[in-house]
Amino acid sequence: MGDIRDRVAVVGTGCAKFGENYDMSIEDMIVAAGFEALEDAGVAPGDIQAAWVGTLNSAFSGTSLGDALKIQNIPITRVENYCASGMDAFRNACFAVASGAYDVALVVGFEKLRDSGARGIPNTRNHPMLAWGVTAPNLFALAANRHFHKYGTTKSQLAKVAVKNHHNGAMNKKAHFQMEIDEETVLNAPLISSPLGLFDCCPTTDGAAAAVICRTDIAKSFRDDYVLVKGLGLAVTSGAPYFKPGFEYDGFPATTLAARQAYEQAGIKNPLEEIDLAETHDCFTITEILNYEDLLFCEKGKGGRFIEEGHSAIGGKLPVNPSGGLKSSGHPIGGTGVRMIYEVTRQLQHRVGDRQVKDAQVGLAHNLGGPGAVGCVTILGNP
Amino acid sequence: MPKRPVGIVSFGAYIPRYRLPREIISRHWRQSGGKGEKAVAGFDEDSFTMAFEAALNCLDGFDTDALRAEMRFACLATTTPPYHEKAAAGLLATALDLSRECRTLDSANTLRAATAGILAGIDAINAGATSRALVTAADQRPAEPQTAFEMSFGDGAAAVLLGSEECIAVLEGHVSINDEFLGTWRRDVDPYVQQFPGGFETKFGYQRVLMESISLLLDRQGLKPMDVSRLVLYSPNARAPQNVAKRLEMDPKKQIADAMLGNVGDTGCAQVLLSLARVLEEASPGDLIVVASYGDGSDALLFRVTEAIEQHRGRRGPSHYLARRRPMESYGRYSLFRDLVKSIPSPGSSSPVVLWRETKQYLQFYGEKCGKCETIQFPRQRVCVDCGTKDNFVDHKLSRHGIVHTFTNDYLHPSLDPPTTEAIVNVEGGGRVLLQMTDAEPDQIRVGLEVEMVLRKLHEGAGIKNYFWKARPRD
Repeated sequence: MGDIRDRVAVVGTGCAKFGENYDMSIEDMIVAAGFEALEDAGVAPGDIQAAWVGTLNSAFSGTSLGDALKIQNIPITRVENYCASGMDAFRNACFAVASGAYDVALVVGFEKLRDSGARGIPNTRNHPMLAWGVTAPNLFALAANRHFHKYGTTKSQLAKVAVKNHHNGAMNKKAHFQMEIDEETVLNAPLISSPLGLFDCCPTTDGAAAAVICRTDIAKSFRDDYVLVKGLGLAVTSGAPYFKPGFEYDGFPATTLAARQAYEQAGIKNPLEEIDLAETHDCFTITEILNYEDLLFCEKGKGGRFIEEGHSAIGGKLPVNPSGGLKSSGHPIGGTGVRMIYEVTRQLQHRVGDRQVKDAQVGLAHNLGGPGAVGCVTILGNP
Repeated sequence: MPKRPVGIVSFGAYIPRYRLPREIISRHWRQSGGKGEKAVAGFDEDSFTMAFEAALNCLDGFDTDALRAEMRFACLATTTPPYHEKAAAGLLATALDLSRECRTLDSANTLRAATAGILAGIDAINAGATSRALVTAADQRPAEPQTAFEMSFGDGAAAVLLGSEECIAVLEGHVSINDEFLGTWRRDVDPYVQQFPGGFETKFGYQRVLMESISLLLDRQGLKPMDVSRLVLYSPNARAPQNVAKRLEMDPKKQIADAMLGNVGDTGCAQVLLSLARVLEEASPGDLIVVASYGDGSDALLFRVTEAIEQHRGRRGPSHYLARRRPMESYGRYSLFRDLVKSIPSPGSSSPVVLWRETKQYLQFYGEKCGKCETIQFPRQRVCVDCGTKDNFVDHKLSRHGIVHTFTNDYLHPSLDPPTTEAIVNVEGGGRVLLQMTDAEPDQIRVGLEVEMVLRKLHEGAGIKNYFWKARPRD
């Protein structure tokens, strides 16, 4: 297998304001994120040779992106891979550029959730019986109760994830929420899916994010502070882990499998020491705790301690979700993975202001789709 | 050649957990009184699911392969079938995994449906069409709010297995009276059971026809009223059967069986079967039991209890369920369950095509076992989840017992009875399933909880009844 390391550069990033964008259409958000990324890279829409777009179910096909930006008559591919749709779109674009087929490509991820009044993520496919009535929080609450039972993880540890990510998000103008919360607020919130309460859940959000990528050898013609792709991992495990005999349900192997691929490509032996910051998929507070373990930042079962001891705070050993994460930035499904690329790139470029992680050189982004079934991990680093 | 004795081989019962205190109903309507409580089917139950659980209890301990080979008669008696056109007994026979050649009969439209089913089953056995016959009865009759029916109607089910070997109660004789009478009825357009007001039905329908059928039965059998150990008499209320007994010169206190009006309610066509099951729980060899149903006439059946009753104790009969109650805290929940208010629309979708293709795994709970690595898996699939071997499976019926691996109580999914508990269950003997839980308080659920699987109505997406298994804390 070929090596992806250092063959692709991120030269432009953009992100629409995340939130309940009642005053914005899909087109408005794609235009905001897309043109910000194009301008950041210093290119025009006509310079883009191919594009990838990630959305769960807000639109169909490459036309959703092409019609908004009027980049037409070129290859545009729509990617859907549950909540990892955005990062998988980025991954596919990177491999296409690395292959030499294209010099410059655009990646956009977006989702429009608030134009309908659905509670949670709208169901696209319902089997009449199997997992009928199961909601997104259920899938992670099942892991939470198992983790509580097995390792003694507590609601208070979960709450600390929410408090940290709201604290970080308060420094992010593009986040859905700029609002500090305290642990008591989290613990006293109404239950959504036990043990997860309202503040253990990320919001449903409208948003879009974009990135312009190119071959590394031409990156300097766009900007000096380009960022390099060091590793790209993707693992797809069973989409019905709740029916899988023996599945422990105390974490998501898809994350670990994807991380191992990316670490190997990037040459990372000790993630805790070698990674300076991580944007991980905290769709629910328990998920961030599982991510610490599944991304091998700490041992299995020690995720609760990891947050409690402050390792994942800005200024800690390995700051996690300095952007505020899904919890505070919001989670426009297909948009999230690309928003993480935007955040990590700008952290490595030292462009994020108050939430800047000091001396950041290597960053990780982790997108998780479905019932923990689609794990996608990207490692970015400065040249 | 003397006729072989034919009769009841086994019995079972089912009463829903939810019990609505009648005081809550009367208080709701700013009236006084209201004694006892009535059983209310959960939002996920109907006449089919109740009859099915009664049938499982009735058949518990019998060799299922033998039953599949022998049973050629299955009946579901109800005035409240899940479908007005589509067999409920067919669903029952399928879910019980009976032979495809089993004849099914929906006995319907009258409170006499259960005894009509029993007599049809007996006839089938006597005719040599089958060696065993299963007869179930269940009802959840719709009662108009603020009426006496609302106070009296309850939900429940019972089942009897009929046969000619190892009878616990032999049918000694029976009579049937047909009597055209407009006392109680419900047309298709009527949302509730209707009744002609006043004492007309009690005097000229109920009393007259029951005296006729019971007297004729006793007369033909050469019995005196006082010879009867127990009279199981359909009881629309507490007083009516007493008048019948007195006029028959029987002792109401000693001879009339408990119709369970006080703690279960009037369970419609299931009432006499449920009451008979209660009597059989405590019957002694030699007891003479008269079962008299009522509805457009009357069937009266005389059973003589045999020695075999002693070997038949301990199964789940009415007393098991009477002891397992879940008080319903409000009229509001009752009115939601009974569709008395505009409720949350079912968010489900479904497909009769999918249900047909996968019937085996839904109604019958079949998974499969890999022929190579022996992993038991559900749902059924083509390639083994564990070793990847293709198309090398044997059918494996999942056990109805298991242990909770993990769970969550969900308040997001719209439900008439929140929270919706989702549980991952490790099935006894192999298999892993995700099921909703039912009949449980949220704080009861924990990792390691023992559960038993029950068939329930999951939702009514696509305008059909989507039946699937749920888990309930094991009794």
